[in-house]
Amino acid sequence: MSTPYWTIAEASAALGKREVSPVDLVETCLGRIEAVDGKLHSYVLVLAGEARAAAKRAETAILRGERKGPLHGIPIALKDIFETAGIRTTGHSRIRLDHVPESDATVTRKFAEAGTILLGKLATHEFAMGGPSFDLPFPPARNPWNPANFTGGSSSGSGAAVAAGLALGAMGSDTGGSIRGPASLCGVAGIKPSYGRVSRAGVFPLSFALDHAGPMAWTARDCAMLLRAIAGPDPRDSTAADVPVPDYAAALGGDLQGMSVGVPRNFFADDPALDPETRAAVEAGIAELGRLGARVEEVKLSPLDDYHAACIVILLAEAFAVHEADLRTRWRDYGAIFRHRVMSAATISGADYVQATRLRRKLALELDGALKRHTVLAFPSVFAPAAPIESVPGLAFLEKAALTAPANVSGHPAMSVCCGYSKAGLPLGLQLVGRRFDEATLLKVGDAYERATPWRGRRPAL
Amino acid sequence: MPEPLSPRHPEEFAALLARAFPDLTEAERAALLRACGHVRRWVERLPRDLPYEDEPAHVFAAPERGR
Repeated sequence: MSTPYWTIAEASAALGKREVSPVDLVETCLGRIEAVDGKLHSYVLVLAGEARAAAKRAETAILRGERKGPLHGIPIALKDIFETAGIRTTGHSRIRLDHVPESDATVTRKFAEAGTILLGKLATHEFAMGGPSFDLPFPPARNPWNPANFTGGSSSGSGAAVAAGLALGAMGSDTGGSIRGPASLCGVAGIKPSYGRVSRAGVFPLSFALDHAGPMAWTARDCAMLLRAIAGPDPRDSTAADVPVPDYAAALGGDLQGMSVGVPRNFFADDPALDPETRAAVEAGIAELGRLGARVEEVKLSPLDDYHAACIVILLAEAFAVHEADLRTRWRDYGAIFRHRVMSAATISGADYVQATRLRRKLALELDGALKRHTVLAFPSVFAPAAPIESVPGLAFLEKAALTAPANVSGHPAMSVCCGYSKAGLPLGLQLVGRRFDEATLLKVGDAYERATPWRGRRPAL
Repeated sequence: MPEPLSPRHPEEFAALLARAFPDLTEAERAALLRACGHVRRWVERLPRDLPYEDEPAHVFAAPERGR
């Protein structure tokens, strides 16, 4: 039995009943990769042979009654900044084109221990920043809803692959919105967990203070299943907090009675960049949260530009520090967009960086306060649906404040769920921000919204 | 207080670029200067007057400003 599109939850249930085999799931994904990834470019490396062998091993184990858990036999893929022992990990850059790690990232290892099957490595903007670029060793990923359009970034391949059914789930990373942006533009669910929830050991850094690793999948429920497998403390990452990891998927279900949704309209309502269809879809999404039982109230926060200022100064200064040596000696091996963005950090002084971190603390406390009064905050993930890929400015993140930046600055968990489609058939995203280490409630809200709306019933026509 | 010596202004940044990367094309130089201008705008938005008491590493009684 094979079906073109599976959610992780559906596939897991079918595997448990032996209605489908891991081999079927892997062949379905590989068949679709073969059929459509020539125009989507979501993968930079497909591990077809390894995946088939792993699927066979998983099938044998499951038939013997040795199923490891709900993710055993589920095909996934990793953004190509997650290290994979013995498998090339490039960061989508010429700088590390021949880099073959000796060990796995902690997330890679945890997924393997959960029994997932690695299909391959996914496209990213160069080192998780700076795209879409056309001067790198691999082409940029394209949007499955219209391959002429942008995927968002930097987890571009992760968004495209999940939306197109080329993997059932994927890992992304999010420093200024790199999970939630592509999740929104590609019409999938993606969660940036709390800072410290998921280990970043073996994930190539962009900004130590702002980097988060998190899952992307078709539904919030699928994200819940993936997050449980990878969350928790890690001796290899001192920022990975020793906070209990609940069974996120088991906590899903029900309505939103007793919850409060805060809407920071000053982030977006009067911004001329807000696309009218996005505005309508997000407002309808917020109203739906009210119909599900939540109390909806407006909340006033500091201007979005304040959050973005703290984000961009910290991000660029730290990215410059990470890449300083290679920028000096291998300048031309970076893509132009990455060079231009990161070199601008040379104008950031030590005092600027310190002031940005002090502002960060003030803003994080502000969001803590808002989230004492409200269970979640809701606002758009991005200002507009996916633009034509050729028209995306290389310096977009420097030019305009991003709606995703606040949760990177504050470290709160945040996710994007699909809240409809534009007239042109492009997905639109609703962003939800939750309390620290309370991903369970955030996922519950996202899942309730998805179940109450028809958006998960549509897939890209490829 | 004199401005600290740093590539804060486009002219200084252009001079730094010319010294570090003498083979830059005009287009690339222009792109870098454009990026630099954006970053300056964000840096200028950072508050410089947050109270000492808000600094988590602050362990002394805060002096009055201007003394």
